[in-house]
Amino acid sequence: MKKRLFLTGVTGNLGYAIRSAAADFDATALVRNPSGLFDQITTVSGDLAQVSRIAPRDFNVILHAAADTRFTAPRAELWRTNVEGVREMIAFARTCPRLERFIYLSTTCVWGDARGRIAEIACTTRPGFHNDYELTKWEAERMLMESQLPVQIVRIPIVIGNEGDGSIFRNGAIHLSLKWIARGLLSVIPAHPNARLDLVSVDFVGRGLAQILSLKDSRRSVIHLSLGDHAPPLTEVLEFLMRWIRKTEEPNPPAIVDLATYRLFKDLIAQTGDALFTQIYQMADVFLSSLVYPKVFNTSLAENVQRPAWRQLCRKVFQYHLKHEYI
Amino acid sequence: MHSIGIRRHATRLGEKFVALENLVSEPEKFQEFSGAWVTEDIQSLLLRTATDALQADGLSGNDIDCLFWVSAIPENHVRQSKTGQRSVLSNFCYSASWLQSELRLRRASVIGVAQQGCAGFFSAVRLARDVIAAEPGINHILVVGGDALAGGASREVLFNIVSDAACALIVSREGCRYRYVAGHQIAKGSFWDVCSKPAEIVASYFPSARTVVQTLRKQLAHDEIDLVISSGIRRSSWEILMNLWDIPIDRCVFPQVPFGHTIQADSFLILKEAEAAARIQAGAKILLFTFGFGSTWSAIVLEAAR
Repeated sequence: MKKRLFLTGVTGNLGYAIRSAAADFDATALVRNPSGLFDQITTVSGDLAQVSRIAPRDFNVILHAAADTRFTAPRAELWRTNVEGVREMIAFARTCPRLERFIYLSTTCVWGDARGRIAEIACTTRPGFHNDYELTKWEAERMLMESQLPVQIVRIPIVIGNEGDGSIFRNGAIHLSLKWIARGLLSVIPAHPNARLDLVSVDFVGRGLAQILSLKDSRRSVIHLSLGDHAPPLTEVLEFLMRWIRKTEEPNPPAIVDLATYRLFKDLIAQTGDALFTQIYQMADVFLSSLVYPKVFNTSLAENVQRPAWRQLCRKVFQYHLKHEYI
Repeated sequence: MHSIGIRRHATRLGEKFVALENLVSEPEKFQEFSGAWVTEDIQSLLLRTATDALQADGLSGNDIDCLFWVSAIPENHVRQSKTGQRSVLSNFCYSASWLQSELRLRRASVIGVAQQGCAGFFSAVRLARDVIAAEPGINHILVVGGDALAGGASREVLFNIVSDAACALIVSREGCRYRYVAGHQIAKGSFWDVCSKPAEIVASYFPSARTVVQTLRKQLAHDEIDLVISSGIRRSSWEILMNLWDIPIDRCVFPQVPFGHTIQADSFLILKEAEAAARIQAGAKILLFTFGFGSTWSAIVLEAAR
């Protein structure tokens, strides 16, 4: 008999990954809008605030992936989904008598301005954050670690697209960055010269989650589902992308600068009063400034997950966005 | 090793100083500038500056083999006919020819350099060096450049204040104060329509500036730059450039009193100040950089005479 799995976040960017990872389970998903039904997954209509009232309680595993991933969203909105949503899920989990595991899909961003090698452990000391998304995900992890539930935290890095056609359900900060680099407007990036870009595909996350769901071990743990030591240097990724971008435009590769130089440049941009320019560098502030603090994420389970070839993945993502005139 | 370089140079700002509050609507945005220098007759200013350069060097008009006239603004290339007529013929009343006549450069051939924006003067210096290197009979080239904005024109250009100024220098085969070591230029025609792409040009400015200087430094036997001559644009832009080039900021010479951006003469106005302040050491490698609409990024390295 299949184990019972409760899912959230099946309609988001990682929806395909989550649904495919859940294939061996008797799965039920919480969805706000049940119009798009999925094969072999039962849906319950509602939002996180209603979960305790509307969902059954016979689950062996909970995989909570629903999140507000907008880096520039107001803190109150991020807090409602990412912190209060997790609080609701903890309360719900406590009412599930057969619960063996609570898997929480988090982000490597919870390490904020930490540098160096990052172990697969709880981030107990609060780092400096670049945006409220990081803050709210860190707060959610903290609540879960204090919950006494059998929690497994799975941290995901930047998800750039599907391996098949490079598509993504909803564009994120990485896609916006790509767009502005291609148009020559994002020309100065605050980053450490040794910064790496941990870029994964939706499929990689799917393969990783399938392995995690198949684990028999229900001890509390933290797993980095990332490229870790295999993550390419930022400079190499930019160099590779510029080769593609130059086929359509002729922008320079962005200059990688330290924070002090970046701030001087940003002041100059602010003086232009150009709304688009200002918006681009606001995005760079909350997303790219994390590259000033280079990190390599230790990976254990992820070492056994088939990794995407980052060049091929980036090329497909770029071609997809070009085809759909997003770039 | 060749010894071609700059023998003498002279500069002049416009004769009249106009305070900032009379130039811009929001003076608080231009706090590092107190105003701009203005001339009503750029050609006369150029004539006096060229005379300064010749006299300083003890050269006469007969010593000059070539005259290069540089201006970014098309109107500055033509002088009004004495007849006052405006006709097809009046388009050919060239300023360079007039200057040749005034300076009595009887042996000189005359060449105009245009369409380089603020990088025109650097292009002319480079061309002068190349002509001397290629033609054994040519020993001295007088390069004269300057621009003035029309009376009443806005003097705000991309957050900088524009002053009028003139610059003249003599590029010679021997006896030079500054040997021309290397030069490099990047031109991006896709920015030809400067009115439609100001944001793209600002964005491209720094990465291209980094590339042009990186490429230039690869031409040097030793990578070391001893001194950087800034320009009349905002100081903060130079702080970014120095970081991008990885050159300590204390090697950058800034103008003692910001005079604004003068289109052609910035680097040589500040080089003069550096000389007066005894900052030029014998053998020093000196980097000069400029950007011109169009768009052109240009950098040259000079070596101070030993």
